[in-house]
Amino acid sequence: MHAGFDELSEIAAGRRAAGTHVSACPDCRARLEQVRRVHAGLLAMPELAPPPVTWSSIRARVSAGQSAPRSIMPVAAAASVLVAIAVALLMAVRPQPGAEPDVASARMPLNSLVAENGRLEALLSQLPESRTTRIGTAYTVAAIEDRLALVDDRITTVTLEPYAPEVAEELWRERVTLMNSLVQVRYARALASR
Amino acid sequence: MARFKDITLDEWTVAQARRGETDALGRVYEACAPAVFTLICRLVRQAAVAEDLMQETFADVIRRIGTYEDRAPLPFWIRAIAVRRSLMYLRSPWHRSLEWLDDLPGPGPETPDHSASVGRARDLECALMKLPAMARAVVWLHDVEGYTHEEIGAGLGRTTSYSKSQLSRAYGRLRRAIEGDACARQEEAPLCTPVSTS
Repeated sequence: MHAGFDELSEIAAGRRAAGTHVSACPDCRARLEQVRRVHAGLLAMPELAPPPVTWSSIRARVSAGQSAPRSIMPVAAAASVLVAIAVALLMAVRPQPGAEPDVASARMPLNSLVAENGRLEALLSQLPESRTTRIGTAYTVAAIEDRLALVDDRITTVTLEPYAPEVAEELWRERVTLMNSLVQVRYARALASR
Repeated sequence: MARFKDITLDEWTVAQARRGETDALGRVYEACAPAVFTLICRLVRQAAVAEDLMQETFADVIRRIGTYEDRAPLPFWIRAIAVRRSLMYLRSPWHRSLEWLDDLPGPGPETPDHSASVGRARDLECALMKLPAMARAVVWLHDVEGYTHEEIGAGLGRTTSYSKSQLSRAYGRLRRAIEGDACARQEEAPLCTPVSTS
Protein backbone atom coordinates (compact mmCIF):
# COMPACT_ATOMS: atom_id res chain seq x y z
CA MET A 1 0.00 0.00 0.00
CA HIS A 2 1.88 3.01 -1.32
CA ALA A 3 1.40 6.67 -0.50
CA GLY A 4 -0.58 8.76 -2.96
CA PHE A 5 0.58 12.06 -4.43
CA ASP A 6 -1.63 14.02 -2.06
CA GLU A 7 0.09 12.54 0.98
CA LEU A 8 3.56 12.96 -0.52
CA SER A 9 2.95 16.61 -1.35
CA GLU A 10 1.74 17.28 2.20
CA ILE A 11 4.86 15.60 3.59
CA ALA A 12 7.10 17.58 1.23
CA ALA A 13 5.40 20.80 2.33
CA GLY A 14 6.04 19.90 5.97
CA ARG A 15 2.37 19.68 6.82
CA ARG A 16 2.43 16.02 7.64
CA ALA A 17 5.09 13.69 9.00
CA ALA A 18 6.18 10.76 6.87
CA GLY A 19 4.56 7.60 8.17
CA THR A 20 6.37 4.35 8.79
CA HIS A 21 5.46 3.01 5.36
CA VAL A 22 6.82 6.02 3.46
CA SER A 23 9.97 5.98 5.55
CA ALA A 24 10.59 2.31 4.89
CA CYS A 25 9.37 1.89 1.30
CA PRO A 26 12.04 2.58 -1.37
CA ASP A 27 9.41 3.35 -4.01
CA CYS A 28 7.58 5.87 -1.83
CA ARG A 29 10.84 7.43 -0.69
CA ALA A 30 11.94 7.86 -4.30
CA ARG A 31 8.65 9.50 -5.27
CA LEU A 32 8.78 11.68 -2.16
CA GLU A 33 12.26 12.81 -3.18
CA GLN A 34 10.93 13.83 -6.61
CA VAL A 35 8.13 15.82 -5.01
CA ARG A 36 10.56 17.43 -2.58
CA ARG A 37 12.85 18.53 -5.40
CA VAL A 38 10.02 20.33 -7.17
CA HIS A 39 8.77 21.83 -3.91
CA ALA A 40 12.26 23.06 -2.98
CA GLY A 41 12.72 24.48 -6.48
CA LEU A 42 9.50 26.46 -6.17
CA LEU A 43 10.50 27.85 -2.78
CA ALA A 44 13.88 28.88 -4.16
CA MET A 45 12.48 30.90 -7.03
CA PRO A 46 13.70 34.49 -7.06
CA GLU A 47 11.73 37.47 -5.97
CA LEU A 48 10.56 39.69 -8.81
CA ALA A 49 11.38 43.37 -8.85
CA PRO A 50 8.25 45.46 -8.31
CA PRO A 51 7.42 48.11 -10.89
CA PRO A 52 8.50 51.69 -10.28
CA VAL A 53 5.18 52.66 -8.76
CA THR A 54 5.43 55.07 -5.89
CA TRP A 55 3.28 54.94 -2.82
CA SER A 56 2.30 58.57 -3.24
CA SER A 57 0.92 57.85 -6.72
CA ILE A 58 -1.32 55.06 -5.39
CA ARG A 59 -2.45 57.29 -2.54
CA ALA A 60 -3.18 60.13 -4.94
CA ARG A 61 -5.30 57.86 -7.10
CA VAL A 62 -7.29 56.66 -4.12
CA SER A 63 -7.81 60.25 -3.03
CA ALA A 64 -9.02 61.06 -6.53
CA GLY A 65 -11.53 58.23 -6.24
CA GLN A 66 -10.06 56.04 -8.98
CA SER A 67 -10.38 52.37 -8.25
CA ALA A 68 -8.24 51.05 -11.08
CA PRO A 69 -5.26 53.13 -11.98
CA ARG A 70 -4.42 52.19 -15.53
CA SER A 71 -6.93 50.06 -16.16
CA ILE A 72 -8.27 47.14 -17.89
CA MET A 73 -10.50 46.50 -14.89
CA PRO A 74 -13.55 48.53 -15.99
CA VAL A 75 -13.40 46.76 -19.35
CA ALA A 76 -13.07 43.45 -17.56
CA ALA A 77 -16.09 44.23 -15.45
CA ALA A 78 -18.09 45.19 -18.53
CA ALA A 79 -17.03 42.00 -20.28
CA SER A 80 -18.07 39.97 -17.24
CA VAL A 81 -21.50 41.56 -17.24
CA LEU A 82 -21.97 40.93 -20.97
CA VAL A 83 -21.04 37.29 -20.64
CA ALA A 84 -23.31 36.87 -17.63
CA ILE A 85 -26.21 38.41 -19.55
CA ALA A 86 -25.53 36.18 -22.55
CA VAL A 87 -25.49 33.06 -20.38
CA ALA A 88 -28.66 34.15 -18.58
CA LEU A 89 -30.44 34.72 -21.90
CA LEU A 90 -29.32 31.37 -23.16
CA MET A 91 -30.60 29.62 -20.05
CA ALA A 92 -33.90 31.48 -20.36
CA VAL A 93 -34.56 30.33 -23.92
CA ARG A 94 -33.37 26.76 -23.43
CA PRO A 95 -36.13 24.13 -23.80
CA GLN A 96 -37.38 22.97 -20.43
CA PRO A 97 -36.61 19.40 -19.41
CA GLY A 98 -39.51 17.24 -20.42
CA ALA A 99 -40.49 19.35 -23.40
CA GLU A 100 -39.12 16.63 -25.62
CA PRO A 101 -39.95 13.40 -23.73
CA ASP A 102 -38.10 11.05 -26.06
CA VAL A 103 -34.85 13.00 -25.77
CA ALA A 104 -35.24 13.86 -22.09
CA SER A 105 -35.67 10.22 -21.15
CA ALA A 106 -32.50 9.30 -22.97
CA ARG A 107 -30.36 12.27 -21.94
CA MET A 108 -30.15 13.98 -18.59
CA PRO A 109 -30.52 17.77 -19.01
CA LEU A 110 -27.68 20.14 -18.18
CA ASN A 111 -29.06 21.34 -14.86
CA SER A 112 -29.57 17.74 -13.69
CA LEU A 113 -26.04 16.88 -14.75
CA VAL A 114 -24.67 19.82 -12.78
CA ALA A 115 -26.77 18.83 -9.77
CA GLU A 116 -25.60 15.23 -10.04
CA ASN A 117 -21.98 16.44 -10.14
CA GLY A 118 -22.62 18.40 -6.97
CA ARG A 119 -24.10 15.33 -5.29
CA LEU A 120 -21.09 13.21 -6.27
CA GLU A 121 -18.67 15.89 -5.06
CA ALA A 122 -20.44 15.94 -1.71
CA LEU A 123 -20.34 12.14 -1.56
CA LEU A 124 -16.64 12.12 -2.39
CA SER A 125 -15.86 14.67 0.30
CA GLN A 126 -17.49 12.37 2.89
CA LEU A 127 -15.31 9.40 1.99
CA PRO A 128 -12.34 9.06 4.34
CA GLU A 129 -8.91 9.86 2.92
CA SER A 130 -6.86 6.70 2.93
CA ARG A 131 -3.29 7.32 4.09
CA THR A 132 -1.93 4.54 1.91
CA THR A 133 -3.04 2.87 -1.26
CA ARG A 134 -1.94 0.30 -3.78
CA ILE A 135 0.15 1.83 -6.50
CA GLY A 136 -2.23 0.53 -9.19
CA THR A 137 -5.14 2.22 -7.44
CA ALA A 138 -3.13 5.39 -7.06
CA TYR A 139 -2.48 5.45 -10.78
CA THR A 140 -6.18 4.86 -11.49
CA VAL A 141 -7.18 7.71 -9.19
CA ALA A 142 -4.52 9.96 -10.72
CA ALA A 143 -5.71 9.11 -14.24
CA ILE A 144 -9.32 9.91 -13.35
CA GLU A 145 -8.33 13.14 -11.61
CA ASP A 146 -6.22 14.14 -14.59
CA ARG A 147 -9.15 13.61 -16.86
CA LEU A 148 -11.40 15.54 -14.47
CA ALA A 149 -8.98 18.47 -14.53
CA LEU A 150 -9.01 18.40 -18.32
CA VAL A 151 -12.79 18.28 -18.46
CA ASP A 152 -12.99 21.11 -15.92
CA ASP A 153 -10.75 23.24 -18.10
CA ARG A 154 -12.90 22.53 -21.13
CA ILE A 155 -16.09 23.28 -19.20
CA THR A 156 -14.58 26.60 -18.20
CA THR A 157 -13.82 27.36 -21.83
CA VAL A 158 -17.23 26.25 -23.06
CA THR A 159 -18.88 28.54 -20.52
CA LEU A 160 -17.71 31.33 -22.78
CA GLU A 161 -19.41 29.73 -25.77
CA PRO A 162 -23.07 30.12 -24.89
CA TYR A 163 -24.20 29.04 -28.33
CA ALA A 164 -22.92 25.51 -27.90
CA PRO A 165 -24.99 24.10 -25.01
CA GLU A 166 -24.83 20.56 -26.35
CA VAL A 167 -21.05 20.59 -25.96
CA ALA A 168 -21.44 21.74 -22.36
CA GLU A 169 -23.88 18.90 -21.74
CA GLU A 170 -21.47 16.37 -23.17
CA LEU A 171 -18.70 17.64 -20.94
CA TRP A 172 -20.88 17.64 -17.84
CA ARG A 173 -22.05 14.14 -18.72
CA GLU A 174 -18.44 13.01 -19.01
CA ARG A 175 -17.75 14.65 -15.66
CA VAL A 176 -20.61 12.72 -14.06
CA THR A 177 -19.16 9.48 -15.45
CA LEU A 178 -15.68 10.33 -14.17
CA MET A 179 -16.99 11.37 -10.78
CA ASN A 180 -18.93 8.11 -10.52
CA SER A 181 -15.74 6.19 -11.27
CA LEU A 182 -13.77 8.22 -8.76
CA VAL A 183 -16.35 7.70 -6.03
CA GLN A 184 -16.36 3.95 -6.70
CA VAL A 185 -12.56 3.68 -6.61
CA ARG A 186 -12.29 5.83 -3.49
CA TYR A 187 -15.08 3.86 -1.83
CA ALA A 188 -13.35 0.57 -2.60
CA ARG A 189 -10.06 1.98 -1.33
CA ALA A 190 -11.72 3.13 1.89
CA LEU A 191 -13.19 -0.34 2.42
CA ALA A 192 -9.85 -2.02 1.71
CA SER A 193 -8.00 0.14 4.19
CA ARG A 194 -10.33 -0.71 7.04
CA MET B 1 13.30 34.95 -1.78
CA ALA B 2 11.50 37.28 0.60
CA ARG B 3 8.30 35.84 1.98
CA PHE B 4 5.39 37.38 3.78
CA LYS B 5 6.40 35.62 6.98
CA ASP B 6 9.84 37.24 6.76
CA ILE B 7 8.46 40.78 6.57
CA THR B 8 8.88 42.55 9.86
CA LEU B 9 6.87 45.61 10.77
CA ASP B 10 7.25 47.15 14.19
CA GLU B 11 4.18 47.59 16.38
CA TRP B 12 4.37 51.37 16.18
CA THR B 13 4.24 51.30 12.36
CA VAL B 14 1.30 48.89 12.38
CA ALA B 15 -0.57 50.96 14.96
CA GLN B 16 -0.01 54.14 12.94
CA ALA B 17 -0.99 52.41 9.71
CA ARG B 18 -4.24 51.23 11.30
CA ARG B 19 -5.05 54.84 12.02
CA GLY B 20 -4.48 55.56 8.34
CA GLU B 21 -1.34 57.62 8.83
CA THR B 22 0.28 58.18 5.48
CA ASP B 23 3.93 57.76 6.41
CA ALA B 24 3.28 54.47 8.19
CA LEU B 25 1.25 53.15 5.27
CA GLY B 26 4.14 54.14 3.01
CA ARG B 27 6.54 52.09 5.14
CA VAL B 28 4.15 49.15 4.96
CA TYR B 29 4.08 49.52 1.19
CA GLU B 30 7.87 49.61 0.91
CA ALA B 31 8.17 46.50 3.06
CA CYS B 32 5.44 44.49 1.35
CA ALA B 33 5.55 45.58 -2.30
CA PRO B 34 8.21 43.07 -3.48
CA ALA B 35 6.43 40.09 -1.93
CA VAL B 36 3.02 41.27 -3.16
CA PHE B 37 4.27 41.85 -6.69
CA THR B 38 6.05 38.49 -6.79
CA LEU B 39 2.92 36.69 -5.60
CA ILE B 40 0.67 38.42 -8.13
CA CYS B 41 3.15 37.89 -10.96
CA ARG B 42 3.34 34.18 -10.25
CA LEU B 43 -0.46 33.96 -10.39
CA VAL B 44 -1.28 36.10 -13.41
CA ARG B 45 2.02 36.02 -15.35
CA GLN B 46 1.65 39.22 -17.39
CA ALA B 47 3.68 41.99 -15.77
CA ALA B 48 1.31 44.76 -16.88
CA VAL B 49 -1.68 43.01 -15.31
CA ALA B 50 0.34 42.26 -12.19
CA GLU B 51 1.20 45.93 -11.87
CA ASP B 52 -2.46 46.88 -12.11
CA LEU B 53 -3.43 44.28 -9.54
CA MET B 54 -0.67 45.38 -7.19
CA GLN B 55 -1.91 48.96 -7.32
CA GLU B 56 -5.46 47.73 -6.75
CA THR B 57 -4.26 45.72 -3.79
CA PHE B 58 -2.61 48.68 -2.08
CA ALA B 59 -5.52 50.92 -2.96
CA ASP B 60 -7.67 48.40 -1.08
CA VAL B 61 -5.22 48.53 1.81
CA ILE B 62 -5.65 52.30 2.04
CA ARG B 63 -9.43 52.05 1.88
CA ARG B 64 -9.81 49.15 4.29
CA ILE B 65 -6.98 49.51 6.78
CA GLY B 66 -9.52 50.62 9.37
CA THR B 67 -11.10 47.17 9.26
CA TYR B 68 -7.81 45.36 9.90
CA GLU B 69 -7.87 43.38 13.13
CA ASP B 70 -4.61 41.91 14.29
CA ARG B 71 -5.80 38.31 14.12
CA ALA B 72 -3.02 37.78 11.58
CA PRO B 73 0.11 39.86 10.96
CA LEU B 74 -0.49 42.84 8.67
CA PRO B 75 1.56 41.40 5.74
CA PHE B 76 -0.71 38.34 5.69
CA TRP B 77 -3.79 40.54 5.70
CA ILE B 78 -2.34 42.35 2.68
CA ARG B 79 -1.49 39.01 1.07
CA ALA B 80 -5.12 37.92 1.43
CA ILE B 81 -6.22 41.03 -0.45
CA ALA B 82 -3.65 40.38 -3.21
CA VAL B 83 -4.73 36.75 -3.55
CA ARG B 84 -8.40 37.69 -3.67
CA ARG B 85 -7.74 40.33 -6.31
CA SER B 86 -5.65 37.92 -8.41
CA LEU B 87 -8.15 35.07 -8.22
CA MET B 88 -10.99 37.40 -9.11
CA TYR B 89 -9.00 38.32 -12.19
CA LEU B 90 -8.26 34.71 -13.10
CA ARG B 91 -11.92 33.81 -12.70
CA SER B 92 -13.13 36.70 -14.80
CA PRO B 93 -14.46 36.08 -18.30
CA TRP B 94 -12.15 38.89 -19.34
CA HIS B 95 -9.08 36.90 -18.39
CA ARG B 96 -10.45 33.70 -19.89
CA SER B 97 -11.06 35.40 -23.19
CA LEU B 98 -7.41 36.48 -23.25
CA GLU B 99 -5.84 33.25 -22.07
CA TRP B 100 -4.36 32.67 -25.49
CA LEU B 101 -1.98 35.53 -24.70
CA ASP B 102 -0.33 33.25 -22.17
CA ASP B 103 0.94 31.17 -25.07
CA LEU B 104 2.78 34.03 -26.72
CA PRO B 105 6.55 33.84 -26.30
CA GLY B 106 8.07 36.31 -23.89
CA PRO B 107 11.64 37.57 -23.95
CA GLY B 108 14.37 34.99 -23.50
CA PRO B 109 16.83 34.86 -20.62
CA GLU B 110 18.95 37.98 -20.44
CA THR B 111 22.20 36.28 -19.51
CA PRO B 112 22.36 32.63 -20.52
CA ASP B 113 23.87 30.48 -17.80
CA HIS B 114 24.69 26.94 -18.79
CA SER B 115 25.49 25.56 -15.37
CA ALA B 116 23.31 22.58 -14.47
CA SER B 117 21.75 23.96 -11.30
CA VAL B 118 20.88 27.34 -12.81
CA GLY B 119 19.57 25.56 -15.89
CA ARG B 120 17.27 23.37 -13.80
CA ALA B 121 16.01 26.34 -11.79
CA ARG B 122 15.26 28.20 -15.02
CA ASP B 123 13.57 25.13 -16.47
CA LEU B 124 11.33 24.90 -13.43
CA GLU B 125 10.45 28.58 -13.57
CA CYS B 126 9.67 28.34 -17.29
CA ALA B 127 7.56 25.23 -16.75
CA LEU B 128 5.65 26.95 -13.96
CA MET B 129 4.89 29.96 -16.11
CA LYS B 130 3.76 27.71 -18.96
CA LEU B 131 1.18 25.95 -16.80
CA PRO B 132 -2.47 26.88 -17.36
CA ALA B 133 -3.43 29.81 -15.15
CA MET B 134 -5.53 27.83 -12.69
CA ALA B 135 -2.90 25.10 -12.29
CA ARG B 136 -0.19 27.72 -11.74
CA ALA B 137 -2.31 29.42 -9.09
CA VAL B 138 -2.90 26.13 -7.30
CA VAL B 139 0.81 25.24 -7.31
CA TRP B 140 1.95 28.62 -6.04
CA LEU B 141 -0.72 29.07 -3.40
CA HIS B 142 -0.31 25.53 -2.08
CA ASP B 143 3.43 25.06 -2.21
CA VAL B 144 4.81 28.54 -1.66
CA GLU B 145 2.10 30.45 0.17
CA GLY B 146 0.92 27.51 2.26
CA TYR B 147 -2.78 27.62 1.44
CA THR B 148 -4.82 24.42 1.90
CA HIS B 149 -6.67 22.73 -0.94
CA GLU B 150 -9.94 23.69 0.74
CA GLU B 151 -8.95 27.37 0.74
CA ILE B 152 -7.70 27.26 -2.83
CA GLY B 153 -10.80 25.46 -4.09
CA ALA B 154 -13.01 28.05 -2.40
CA GLY B 155 -10.93 30.92 -3.77
CA LEU B 156 -11.13 29.60 -7.30
CA GLY B 157 -14.83 28.84 -7.04
CA ARG B 158 -14.03 25.16 -7.46
CA THR B 159 -13.90 22.08 -5.29
CA THR B 160 -11.17 20.75 -3.05
CA SER B 161 -10.70 17.79 -5.37
CA TYR B 162 -10.21 20.17 -8.29
CA SER B 163 -7.35 21.84 -6.45
CA LYS B 164 -5.79 18.48 -5.61
CA SER B 165 -6.03 17.16 -9.15
CA GLN B 166 -4.60 20.37 -10.60
CA LEU B 167 -1.62 20.13 -8.24
CA SER B 168 -0.99 16.49 -9.06
CA ARG B 169 -1.15 17.13 -12.78
CA ALA B 170 1.01 20.24 -12.61
CA TYR B 171 3.65 18.41 -10.56
CA GLY B 172 4.02 15.89 -13.35
CA ARG B 173 4.94 18.66 -15.75
CA LEU B 174 7.20 20.47 -13.30
CA ARG B 175 9.02 17.27 -12.42
CA ARG B 176 9.65 16.53 -16.09
CA ALA B 177 10.97 20.08 -16.50
CA ILE B 178 13.68 19.76 -13.87
CA GLU B 179 14.57 16.26 -14.99
CA GLY B 180 14.41 17.10 -18.69
CA ASP B 181 17.35 17.10 -21.04
CA ALA B 182 19.07 20.12 -22.54
CA CYS B 183 16.90 20.01 -25.67
CA ALA B 184 13.72 20.35 -23.63
CA ARG B 185 15.43 23.15 -21.73
CA GLN B 186 16.23 24.98 -24.93
CA GLU B 187 12.65 24.70 -26.16
CA GLU B 188 11.15 26.11 -23.00
CA ALA B 189 13.56 28.97 -22.40
CA PRO B 190 11.91 31.51 -24.75
CA LEU B 191 8.69 31.35 -22.75
CA CYS B 192 10.18 32.61 -19.50
CA THR B 193 8.25 35.09 -17.44
CA PRO B 194 8.47 38.55 -18.99
CA VAL B 195 9.06 40.32 -15.70
CA SER B 196 12.57 41.07 -14.56
CA THR B 197 14.17 39.42 -11.59
CA SER B 198 15.95 41.22 -8.80
